[in-house]
Amino acid sequence: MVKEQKALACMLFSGPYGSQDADIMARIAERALDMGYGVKIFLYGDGVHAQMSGQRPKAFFNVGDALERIAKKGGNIKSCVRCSEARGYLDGGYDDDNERYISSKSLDAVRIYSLYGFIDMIKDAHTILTFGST
Amino acid sequence: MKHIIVELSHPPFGHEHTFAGLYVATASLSKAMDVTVLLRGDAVYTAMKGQVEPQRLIALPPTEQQVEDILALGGRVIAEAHSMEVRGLGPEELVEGIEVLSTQEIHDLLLNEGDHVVAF
Repeated sequence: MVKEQKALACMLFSGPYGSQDADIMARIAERALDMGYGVKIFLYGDGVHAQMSGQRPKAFFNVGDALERIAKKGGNIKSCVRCSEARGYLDGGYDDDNERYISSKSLDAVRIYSLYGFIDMIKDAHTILTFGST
Repeated sequence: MKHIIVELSHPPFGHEHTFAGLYVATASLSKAMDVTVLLRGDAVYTAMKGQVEPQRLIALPPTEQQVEDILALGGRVIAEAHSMEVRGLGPEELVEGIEVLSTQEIHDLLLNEGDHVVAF
């Protein structure tokens, strides 16, 4: 019998570095991937700032690097287009080929997407963890 | 069909949390999911009737309208009785269609219903 892959969905609602939410989420997501989980992450509200490219924290855990590692390991990372547009991340409209809104400021690992991206994650998830939203 | 419970505890206009939760509720309903919105703590103000042009005056959408939209789409919206009492709010001050439940009833719902809880 083929064992069904467990699906973890994480929502990040606070920005990186102001709190440890993004750091903790990224560590859990990486661990879950290593354990064989399917991992999806949605950046929502100020959580979209975790997608900023070129993050260089002096002493803190680098959230941008962690998101890139997560994507390389097969994690699916999306961020809210409405929240991203409000915070200045968008350069253009939706790019059908790459299934994301165009942004020169966002990491390649993160696809800027509609909120339905999160709803689809909820539909598929066995477990949902939220970070920074309460 | 999956049932999602969106639990709100922040006031409607001081933070982005309430809007974020209401958008998730609306988007889930439009994707044919069952949705229950729980209003606890300062979030009970989210469902107050008679909000005066928040879009024009403070550039924020009226949460009253968003709650009405969720109810119209078939969502269930529940306010916690205790949170209303301590704030001096009566059920007549809330949007029609809101259910007012005791804390125990809400805890039973959280433990027995819903596939996932997303809290804001």
